[in-house]
Amino acid sequence: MTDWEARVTRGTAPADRVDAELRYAVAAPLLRDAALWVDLGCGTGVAAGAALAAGGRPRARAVLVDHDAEALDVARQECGTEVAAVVHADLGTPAGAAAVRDALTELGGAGPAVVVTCLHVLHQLADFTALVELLLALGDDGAAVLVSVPDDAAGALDDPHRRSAWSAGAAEELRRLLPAGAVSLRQVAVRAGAIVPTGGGSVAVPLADVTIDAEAPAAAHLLAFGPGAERLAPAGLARAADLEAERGDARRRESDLAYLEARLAALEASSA
Amino acid sequence: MRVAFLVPALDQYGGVGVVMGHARRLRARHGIDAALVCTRADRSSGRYAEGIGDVPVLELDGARADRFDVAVATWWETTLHLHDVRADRYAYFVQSMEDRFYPAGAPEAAAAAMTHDLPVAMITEARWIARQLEALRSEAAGFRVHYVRNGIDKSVFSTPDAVAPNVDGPLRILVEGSPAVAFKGVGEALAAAAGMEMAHHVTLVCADRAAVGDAAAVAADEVVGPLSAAQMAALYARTDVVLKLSRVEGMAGPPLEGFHRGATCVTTPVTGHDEYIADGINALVTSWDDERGTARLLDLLARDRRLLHELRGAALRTARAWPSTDQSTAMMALALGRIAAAPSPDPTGAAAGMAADVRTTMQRHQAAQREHERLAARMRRVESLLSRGPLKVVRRAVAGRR
Repeated sequence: MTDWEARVTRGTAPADRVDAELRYAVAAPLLRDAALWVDLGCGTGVAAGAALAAGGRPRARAVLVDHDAEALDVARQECGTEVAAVVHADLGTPAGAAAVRDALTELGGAGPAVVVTCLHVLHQLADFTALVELLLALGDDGAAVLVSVPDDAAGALDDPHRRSAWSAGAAEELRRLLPAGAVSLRQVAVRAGAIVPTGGGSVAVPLADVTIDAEAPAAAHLLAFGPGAERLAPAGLARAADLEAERGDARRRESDLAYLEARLAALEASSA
Repeated sequence: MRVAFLVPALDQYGGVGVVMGHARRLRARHGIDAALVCTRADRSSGRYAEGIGDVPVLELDGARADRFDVAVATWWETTLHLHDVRADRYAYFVQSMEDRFYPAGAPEAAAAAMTHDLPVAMITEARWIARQLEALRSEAAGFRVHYVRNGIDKSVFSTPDAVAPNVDGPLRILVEGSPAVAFKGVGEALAAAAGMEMAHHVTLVCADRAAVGDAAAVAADEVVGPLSAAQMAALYARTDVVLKLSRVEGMAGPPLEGFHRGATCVTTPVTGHDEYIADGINALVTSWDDERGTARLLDLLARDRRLLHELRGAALRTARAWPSTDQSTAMMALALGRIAAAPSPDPTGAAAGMAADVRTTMQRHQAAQREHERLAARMRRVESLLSRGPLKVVRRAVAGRR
């Protein structure tokens, strides 16, 4: 069950973590060759760190950008690479976008050796014009840019952090703003399971190639442009699910909710 | 950034309301100095004028003295004046392939079609239009049309959390449009509803009440209009199905407004329906000219209330994923920014398209002229016969020819 957290943390439901890690895993080939990686709306860096750990520490130094100072502190430790700069900025504002430009200027400016990721951020902004203009400007300066948005029809309508509507249509609107040669990708859901011997140690299970139908509905839309965008290849990611932990999380949420509702009722009664 | 939107008049022409909304919100939220330029001297101050806010409205003569970053034509006739306005970049907001509004062979149809070849930046509201406009250019030109969907005012067409199932009672059908506009298919829609076997209630919404003839008035249980947006929203909320049998649409706004209020739709596969309609998921798509088939689809919804409710629920979810007017204008602001920053489009592909259109139009005109000359020659023969004397003589002459 999706928790609709604004940021992926170590406590995020495994299925959501896999989805977030996969988006960074797609960008990993570009990050390994880049000198600088700008992660706009980086959150805690947990998903990025997990995705990058699989292929060894990337060469790129990170510029981490978020409007949550606590998340940035965590991201410094978790993002999986050396941190060049941390920018505390609201990307929904022109001032926030300018702060990113300023930080990049200090580091030598955007260019072909810079990769920008902006994953699942746009939908959290009611007005995304400043951020899209920033992405376009960084692209115009020569950076490679990867941006993703969730698809409302795939369940994102229920996300309490959603401030704007995103769908295949909205992704197409965005694509048509991008330079020629922009690459469109879609993230689709894959169900997997495994059968292993009872007892004994850990077992590696080979997962067969999965054929994704052309009409398979998108859970998210990804757009990439700039140098190397054409290198973004189909990718998949599987992690063993910890059902015990998931059930524990669900129990905790239910009990927390019941407790808080009772507490609220008690407070309302006492203040009446 | 200074932007001039050319409109024919402050009235309901070619989506003027959409343009006015963009202009107002571009000024209020995006720091863009947007103005409207009326290209017709006899501009009316129609009902849209009241929603114009602080948007400056210029006459064409006044605009000529000004200078803009981007000048945007918004209806094919306004392209005829586009370059009268001084601007660094020129664009065309295409809300439909407007040649289709005229009968085949009408001079306006050819002229409207040719405006689609203009070597200016293009913005449109529907993917089918974007694809057609791009297909008019050669692939080598790399021409790309900006895509900005028409947003819905969510404060008026607000989405309820859920729709209440209509488990019994007549199927509530809404037909919108003027019976006088043939391509709206209002007559066909009323006929299809009349062909139903199950109980139903038809509401015809028509702003032009004079256009509602006796037949239409009889076919509908209720005729209303003109209605304000708020009144339309209230009516949609009392509707199960919007019946839309149009032959020409840009993206067909009324069913989408209905979706926002929990109504599903039965529609022809009219251009633009694929922007938000998925057959069997949130609506039912009927065939062209299939009055009986459409009636049977409506009967199906009247009979199978579980299906009706499923479609209405899905329509509501589709509506929630549709952009608001604010989000739509944010995309418009970004598109205008890209147009202003980019060089003017390469005219090569456009010029080739325009040359082809000129040739086609010329050939059509030549064919019409030949036909005219042939008929004129026949007329001359008839007149010659008539001039010879009484009708009897003429009859004999004609009989002799047989």
